[in-house]
This record gives sequence, structure tokens and C-alpha cells, in this order.
Amino acid sequence: MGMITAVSPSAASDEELLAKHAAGDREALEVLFQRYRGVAYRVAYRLLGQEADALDAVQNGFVKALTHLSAFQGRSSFKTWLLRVISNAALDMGRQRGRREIRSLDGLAPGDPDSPLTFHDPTLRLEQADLRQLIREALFSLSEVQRQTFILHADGELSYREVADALDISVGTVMSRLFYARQKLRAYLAQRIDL
Amino acid sequence: MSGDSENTLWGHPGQRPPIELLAAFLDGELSTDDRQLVQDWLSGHPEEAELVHAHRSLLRFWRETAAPEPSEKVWREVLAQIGSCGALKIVDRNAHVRLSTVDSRSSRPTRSRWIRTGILALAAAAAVLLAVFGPRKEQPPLPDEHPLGRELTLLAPDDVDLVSMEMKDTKLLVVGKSPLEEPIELLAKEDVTLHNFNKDIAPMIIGPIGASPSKDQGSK
Repeated sequence: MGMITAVSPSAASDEELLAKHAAGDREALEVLFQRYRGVAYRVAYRLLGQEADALDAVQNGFVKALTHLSAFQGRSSFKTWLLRVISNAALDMGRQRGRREIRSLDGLAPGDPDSPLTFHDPTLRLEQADLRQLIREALFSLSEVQRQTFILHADGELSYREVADALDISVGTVMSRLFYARQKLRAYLAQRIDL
Repeated sequence: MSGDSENTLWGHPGQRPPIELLAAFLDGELSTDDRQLVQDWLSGHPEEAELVHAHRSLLRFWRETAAPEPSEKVWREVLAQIGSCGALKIVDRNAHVRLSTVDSRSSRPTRSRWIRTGILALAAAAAVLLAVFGPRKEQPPLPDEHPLGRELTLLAPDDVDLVSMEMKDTKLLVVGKSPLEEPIELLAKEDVTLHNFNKDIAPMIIGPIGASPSKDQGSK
């Protein structure tokens, strides 16, 4: 009697899951979602700074990524495609908030360079929420393309090649953007906390 | 990253490595040979080594401040929304009317946008319903066999708030006497998904609007 082997959905490749999803397999969508929801959320959260907005971006991004798979055409990995869509969706949401967001950031106490705060000193340790707010300010000191490039690499865990594919830029441009993004972030944060 | 591009980026190992190479060094994206070249160069240039160290500290700080993961319950809600969004898009294409879904995260901005869109569609429908079913002095009394025995008002004008409306949808609004004398069908019942409704609200009628309900309908 021959042995029958079945591939568990969680072990299936992205391509196999996408094909199953296209055929109406609900479980395939769940596996894809579980596989990438965390990294998608981290990217969206860094770009938007709020849980609710980040969840919206993840939700919209998954829907767009899955309904526009024809545009994906397997040029890169599904993860790269998904994070491209989600980061663009998050940036769009950020632009819609626009000036209101910038105005609110202007009045934040943690970003006041006159009151430096120490991160590693337990007695002066910032609350995580304050730290995240400070990081948001630092991110807004970057240009949009620097911000997106840095976050796709640092939080999206994409390689240089994958970031280049996601943004349709060269690997050299990715490296350059990453270096200057870190320079700016470092300069901004070092004035306010001990890194 | 392969080593081919590094060779062109740093053709003279005696000079300062290009910044791109330093970034790649930090991220472990250099080939073994290029990594060793950068390492050797940094050992003789402490100020550059300090810069690399500072960037490394930033990356560590970045990982330490990663966003906390949402709960499994929240993820299930998001997944459910992703599924229902696909269904809504089909409704969108067929009916040209976007309906909102009930969402426990309804305070979120995008949810609000959807809800506004849903309210818009419902408000437009309600306006037409008012025009058709609302009080009209010149209209003849309902026949005796009308199952409800009276005119049915689903919503009063004060119950409807238009948050926003696209210009193309304004033609659906009716103010004053209805210009419509014929039955009108805004939505087919398969276009509507009813997730929840308030029992205190008057009974809903799914079917051709403006047509006299049959006795069967009234008895339900």
C-alpha cells in the first residue's frame, strides 16, 4: 500500500497557500495571515504610531494585497509584496492625518531637547509609551522614503534586495537611505536619551 | 547581499569605505571578504568604529522598543474583517452601494469612514423611504386591506444625520414632496447583510419599496 503524505497548511509555501486561497480555501488565508500578521503590524505601527491605525493598515493591506495579486505576478516574495502594500497604505493614512499629526507632535514633552531623558538609567527610565512617542518624533525627522526604507528593513525584516524590490529602487539606494536614516535617528534620539 | 556590488562600491580598500558599505557591514549583508576588509579598516580608525558602534546601539534600541503584539482576539477580528471586506467588494461592484459591517473596533478611523459610508447609503435609502412612505396630505388613504392599517414611518428626518456625501449621490436625496410615484428598488435583498438591528425600531420591509405589502408580509 502506498504511503499518502499530506502537507500541513502551516508548512505550505506562500505560493501554494495563495493558490488555495484563490480557489476559495479559507484556511489558506488564515495561515497566510498568521504567518505575516506580526511583521505587517510592526511595520504599520512604526509608520503610524497607533495600534488602531496600524490594525487598519494591516487589514486594508491584506485585502489589497490579496485582491491585486495580478499586479504582484510573483516578481518578489509574497512577504515583500504584502509589506510594500501595507507600508504604502500606512503612509497614505499618515498623509491623510497630515498637519493634525505634525501639530500634535510639536507639543510633545518627551521630545523637548531641553529636558534630556535617560533610557538606560532605571531611575529615569521612560515609560514604553513615551519611548514609542519619542521614536515617532524621530521617525518624522526622516523623509518619507527614508522612513519607509528604514522601517521595511528594521521592522519588516526585509533584506536589502527585498527592500529594493519592494520600493523599485537599487540596492545601493537602499544602503544609502539606511545609513542616512540611522544617522538622523541617532542624532535626534541622542539629544534626548542615552542610547 | 552578494559581493559583486561591494567591489564596485569600494574599489580602494585603503580609503574610507563608502557609507553604503558601512550600512551593509552593520546589517551583516557583506560577503566574508568584504566584511573582513571593513573590519580591518575600522580597527585602524576608531572614530569610524565609534560611528558603527552608535548605529549598532540604535538598532538594539529599535528592537527593544518594538510595538507590543495585539491579542489573539484582536487578530481574529482583523482576520474576520479581511474576509468580510472581500465580500463587501463584490457587493460594491454589483450594487454600487458600499455597506458597512458592524465592527467591535468601531472607534477606529477607517472603521469610522466605512460607517460614514454606510450611514450615507442608509441615509439616502431612508430619505427615499421617507419620500415614499412619509406623510403626504394629498395621498389617498390606504385601502382597508392594508395589513398595517396605517402609514409606516421608518425614520423621522431628525433621525438622519448626513455626515458626508459624494456629489454623485446627492441625486438620491429627496426634500419635500417625492417626485417618485412608481415603486423603486434601491437594493436587492441579497445586497444587504443585516448584522444587527434594534428591536425597538419599526419592522423592516425587504422587497420593492413603495409597493403595497401583501397580506402574507403583514402577517409575519
